[in-house]
Amino acid sequence: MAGVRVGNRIIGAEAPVTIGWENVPRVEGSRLKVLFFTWFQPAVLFCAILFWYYAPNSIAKASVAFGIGLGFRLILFTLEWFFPRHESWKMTWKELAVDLFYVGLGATILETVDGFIGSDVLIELVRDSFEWDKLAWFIGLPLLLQAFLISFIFDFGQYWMHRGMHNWYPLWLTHKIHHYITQFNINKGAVGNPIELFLIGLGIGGFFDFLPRAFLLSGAIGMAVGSYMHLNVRFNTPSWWRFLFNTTEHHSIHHSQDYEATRSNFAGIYIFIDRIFGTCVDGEAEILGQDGGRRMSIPEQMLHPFTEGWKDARKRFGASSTVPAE
Amino acid sequence: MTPETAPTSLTPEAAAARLAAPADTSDSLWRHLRPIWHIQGEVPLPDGQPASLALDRLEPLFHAVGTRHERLRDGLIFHKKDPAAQDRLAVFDSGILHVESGADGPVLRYQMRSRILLACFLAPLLFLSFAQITIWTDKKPDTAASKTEKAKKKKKALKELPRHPIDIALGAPPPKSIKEREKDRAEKEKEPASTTPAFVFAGIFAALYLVGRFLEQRLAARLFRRALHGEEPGSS
Repeated sequence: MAGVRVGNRIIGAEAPVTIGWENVPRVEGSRLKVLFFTWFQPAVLFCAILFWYYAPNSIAKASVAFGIGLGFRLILFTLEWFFPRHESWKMTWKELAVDLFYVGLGATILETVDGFIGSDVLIELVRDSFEWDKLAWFIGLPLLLQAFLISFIFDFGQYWMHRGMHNWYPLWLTHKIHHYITQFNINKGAVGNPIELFLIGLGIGGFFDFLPRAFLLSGAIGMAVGSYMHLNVRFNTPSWWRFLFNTTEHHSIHHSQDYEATRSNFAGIYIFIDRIFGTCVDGEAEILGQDGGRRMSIPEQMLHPFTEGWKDARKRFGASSTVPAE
Repeated sequence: MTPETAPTSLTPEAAAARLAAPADTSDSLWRHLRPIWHIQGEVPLPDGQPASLALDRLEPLFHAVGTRHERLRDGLIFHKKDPAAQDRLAVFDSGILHVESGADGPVLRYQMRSRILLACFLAPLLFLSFAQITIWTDKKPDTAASKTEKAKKKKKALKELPRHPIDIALGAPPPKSIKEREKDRAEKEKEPASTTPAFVFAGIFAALYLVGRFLEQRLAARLFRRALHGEEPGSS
């Protein structure tokens, strides 16, 4: 495989990756179908922003946001079932059961753990220790700007944490589990070792004060943009969207079996962060995973960072102990 | 023929014993528990189809990544390790298929074991235990120190939230008043940690198990029937 030069790197030399938007297939079929899959994403984003901007205080609350988020995921799940991007990524009972296990972990025990050692708790502890108030730099800004800043600050931090995970071995040990997924679907974002899921959720947003409605708006942006990262549906995503936001295409490259390709597209929502730092690759991949697409069982996913870390530590530090004493 | 597919003299009964059943399979409790993660059934062979042809047609189903299989005299035994997501028998870890004579002619009998079905069956218990952990960790001791801390936190007066002129011009609703936010804060403090997600996931996995137990049994029977009739790729 020759691969394609992107900047200083050769992408796709080890596994098939499609580079360039002109080579990515588009949705074909009836006029209605094409219209739907062209305008769905911008329409949802626009409607979500409009709703949360104007919703009266009585309904602008977290429980409503949760309900809308759940409904939206069900719509995307249905789209995956009827309009899969790749047949090889189609949902099976086993995939659903395994993925829901991780979704369940995130919604239950990890949430409980987060309540004790999550970034918001730690930040509050720091603020209380030094008797700091929240920084009121942004609270007087227009709502939409505040919403953008909340998601941007988080995504910027996530970009560097994610990039660190691909460049520093101890962090990679926790993150590589997520890279063993061999297909995309709506729940795949939740799959990973719990340590990684905790690390990737860390943010510094708790230091700043924002309007409560700005948090709801930023959540809506996250839902309307970030939900497509691991989705098995093809859209005719507009070029401005692909320039600004992360897409299934970008993230599939990040999950491909090609080593160089995995070291690109680190941002969660705003792909322009990757463009700024030169790590963005436009295109898509269907063949995903690590070790040639080997599937990893749940017990292995839970233990791998520790067993692998132990093996490597023994290799590095334990070699001298095998030398017999005189 | 690769060593993996070479026929052996193992009888179906001896091969079935390899499926890790306890020595006393007649034990009634075991017989009742086994169907939780074991699937068995039978599919009639097409008229006049010899056992060897039936197995030849079934064999390509086991040429999947992570699958080892062995031909027996009148059967086939398989083991899977980390099968690919799209492997149509990915739910099963091991199993035995053998041709026997039934009341109306020869039939393919199969017996397969699935750890994921067992895990799914037990998953509700795991999520119920998470609910219990949430309840335990929510019970904070109401000591004098924690009371003073709470009182200190409560003293932090809420400030009126600002509103940018652009938001006023665009007609966004004003932020909640101090009184409304104080009410919200008081309600939030009273609210215990929610066990609802844990109960919901316990329910989801119970339903998922029932669906999987019957769906995978049907899909396996359909797959074997189609393969025996030469309707599966590689089986004609």
